[in-house]
Amino acid sequence: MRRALFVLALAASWWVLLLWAADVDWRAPIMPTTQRAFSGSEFAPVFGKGVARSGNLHLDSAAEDFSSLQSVGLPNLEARDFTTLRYRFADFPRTLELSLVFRTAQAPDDVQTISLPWPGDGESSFDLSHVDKWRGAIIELGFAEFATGQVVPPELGFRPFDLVGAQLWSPSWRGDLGALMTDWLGAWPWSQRSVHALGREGNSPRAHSEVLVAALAAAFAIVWAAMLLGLRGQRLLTTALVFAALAWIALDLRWQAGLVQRLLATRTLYAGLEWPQRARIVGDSDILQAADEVRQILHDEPANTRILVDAGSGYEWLRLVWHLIPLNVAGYPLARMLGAALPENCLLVFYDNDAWRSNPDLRKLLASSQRVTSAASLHVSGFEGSRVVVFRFHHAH
Amino acid sequence: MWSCSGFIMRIDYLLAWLLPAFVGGGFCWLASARQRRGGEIAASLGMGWVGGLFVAAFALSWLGRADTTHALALTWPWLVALGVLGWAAGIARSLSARASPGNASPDRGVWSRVLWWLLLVLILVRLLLLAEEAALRPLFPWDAWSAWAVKPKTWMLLGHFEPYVSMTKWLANPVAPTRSVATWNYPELLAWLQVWFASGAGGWNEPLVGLAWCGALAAFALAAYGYWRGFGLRPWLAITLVYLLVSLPLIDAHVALAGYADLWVAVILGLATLAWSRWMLFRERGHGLLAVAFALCLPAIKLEGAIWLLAFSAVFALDLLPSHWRRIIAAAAAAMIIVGLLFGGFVLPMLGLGWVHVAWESVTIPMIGKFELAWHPVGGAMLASLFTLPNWHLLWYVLPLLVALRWRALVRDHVARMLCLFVLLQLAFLFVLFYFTDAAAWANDFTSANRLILQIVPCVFVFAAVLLREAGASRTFSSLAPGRSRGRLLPISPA
Repeated sequence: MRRALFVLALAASWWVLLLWAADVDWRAPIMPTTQRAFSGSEFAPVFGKGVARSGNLHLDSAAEDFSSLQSVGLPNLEARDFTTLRYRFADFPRTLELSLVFRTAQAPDDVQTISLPWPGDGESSFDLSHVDKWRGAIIELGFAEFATGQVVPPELGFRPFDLVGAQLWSPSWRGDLGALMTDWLGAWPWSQRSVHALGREGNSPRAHSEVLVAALAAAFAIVWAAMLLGLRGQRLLTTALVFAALAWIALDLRWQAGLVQRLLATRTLYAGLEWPQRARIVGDSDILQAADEVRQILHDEPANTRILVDAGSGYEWLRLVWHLIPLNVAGYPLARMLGAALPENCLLVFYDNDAWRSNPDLRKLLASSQRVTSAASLHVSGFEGSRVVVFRFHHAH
Repeated sequence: MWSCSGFIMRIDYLLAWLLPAFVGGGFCWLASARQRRGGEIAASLGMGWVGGLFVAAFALSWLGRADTTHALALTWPWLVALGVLGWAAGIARSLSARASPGNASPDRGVWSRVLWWLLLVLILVRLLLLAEEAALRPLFPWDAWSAWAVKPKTWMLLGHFEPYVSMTKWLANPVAPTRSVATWNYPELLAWLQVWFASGAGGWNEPLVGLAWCGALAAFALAAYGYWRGFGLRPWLAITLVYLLVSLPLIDAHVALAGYADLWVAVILGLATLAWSRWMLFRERGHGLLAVAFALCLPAIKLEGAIWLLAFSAVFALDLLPSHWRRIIAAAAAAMIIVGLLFGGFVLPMLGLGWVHVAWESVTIPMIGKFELAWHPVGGAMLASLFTLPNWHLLWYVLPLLVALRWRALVRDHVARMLCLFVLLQLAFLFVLFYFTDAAAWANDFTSANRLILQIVPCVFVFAAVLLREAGASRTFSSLAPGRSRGRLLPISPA
């Protein structure tokens, strides 16, 4: 009898915990009372090319900037009436990131973007009730896809896929629980944050922590074991460790599934290629090309010539330095910060940065310096608009 | 078909992996030669691989400077000689060795064995997953390509060593064969370790270098299993702890996305703690020396290694004192610190960091800078890092539970108490760092805080293993089967 009561109490408390984690509105019905369904073919490609096929929207190619966007106009749909988004894709490539895009009647020029986990082939859900901007009348809803940031070269991200469809649901238990499952089990790619703190991928609001929920589930079990089974002392602590172990294994299975998804994405890019080919497949392929250009410009320079690199962001100049190794290269922002004097004949490389033209201090510094170009660059279009600009530094006379 | 050069490259790369285990394994075997315990082979191989790798990296930094491409070929004869020496001495001493009774208790229960094999499979699957990820991708994480791999990549692609100097020095002498990077003053042992694998791979090959991170985790797992068996843990309990450690997501992330130094600091600190624990348990001089050797490597990997070395030195020295002196010395040290702070601060010599000045309002570290001390409310971010984000599974929930469960063992066991003190010192350092210095920003933006916690996690597991040393010693899973007695056998008293 006591054991049956224990099992019953445990099941009830875990169910309540799950509902809390899913942020279920107790007053909401179990199934949604209102739904708006949009087949894939109702979406129109805004960027990229696609055709309607068997009710789906088949995307053939991305836009020139390698991104794609499909959207559907909505007849002033009241946001608070629809708090769950359900969506489905087919053959969605592992090299793309997916985002939800929407606009409201109140701010039609303000396009809102929310990161979503990789959708796979199944139905996915997302809880919109925690999105700050999901307010007022929604006039357009869409999906944007682009190569996974810093992981996939933009030009290699797109592969054809189908948008099967999307639905908007009114608040319901089923919708919230579905969104919780997508949140907890969804596949997120590696990011620069992954070595610092996991679980902070994307910019979308997330559900309650699965670690906290697992710990609370174990805690409920321990409390019920003490109250209903009468366990005390060592036996209770042993029971606590057993439930903690079960919770640990559950969390680890989920983590391992995520690792497998990430590995499959990595395989998509690199499997079967030799190292020299893989070395060229980097998320910042544009900076790698810029490094190639710099090398071409400087190929006759003595090996020890000091080269200082500047760019539009810290990431860009650091990556350019990395790609230019083994040239004797360092970051110009460091030299500037230290106020270090530049030696005669050192080289200054500007990537995607017109500070050499727009910054008065730099213009003064480079007043006597000489622009260095490769023979080919004079003939290509946009000498002035080149993303890589190199100067040989000479002190002002 | 493999080309001849490709075949040689593969042999060299294999050598780069096997030679450290041969060299270090011999010396670890020598350390235990007098008295063999359970798990000795695993302990020697795991610890030996990391130790041998560090010996190789040190050797490379002397012998391989002029020709980094062939650095392995230039170094391996010396290392083989060293390995032969270690093994010869180890075998000679082990002739008089005796197996230690009571420390190699195997699992006899069926379920214990099933669990052991199941966990072994889970561990191997995890390591294979991580290894494949690391073996496929170019270097990815930020600090890897902006700091830790800059020097080895340069030296490998140049074909020789060139020193890294400060930016002002680099610019002041533009014809000198020098280089500069923001992290020019970082320790170089990890750089030479990367050169070791790159040289084995025949050139700069990021995935083949990055696989070493997986090797570090596997080696620590092997060493920890061996040591914990030697401590007297049942096989199923020892492998459970190994699985729990290997399953931690942030550790896995550092293996899959190889390139950061934190995992190496964690492994070295963990190995030093393992060897030190065995020294405390059995007073085997060889393991005491191994503990010191690994601890001394800490500042050679990363600057904060000096802090861990200081904490390690303090507890190591405290353990060496006669028991009645410990409290007196600890109280005297605490009093000296307080008096020092009251009178304007004091200085501490720290290997790799210089003379560190500690005062009420600031801590000045010559190699890093001045840290103003003021309260920073970072509790929310720290709690999230430890308890809600999926970095550590349930580690920080289970640890207090375990301490409560084994409280009596902690109170009566000197080794557990010393390890507890070591972990508390580490946590105290992290507390001061994140709550009282500008490093609070690293906690608030969820960057370095978890990586510093990662560095002490293996020590936490060693502490947990020592707490569990006698747990389950008298029972196996089969003895827990229904109908079997779980209690002590009592004499039948006459009615």
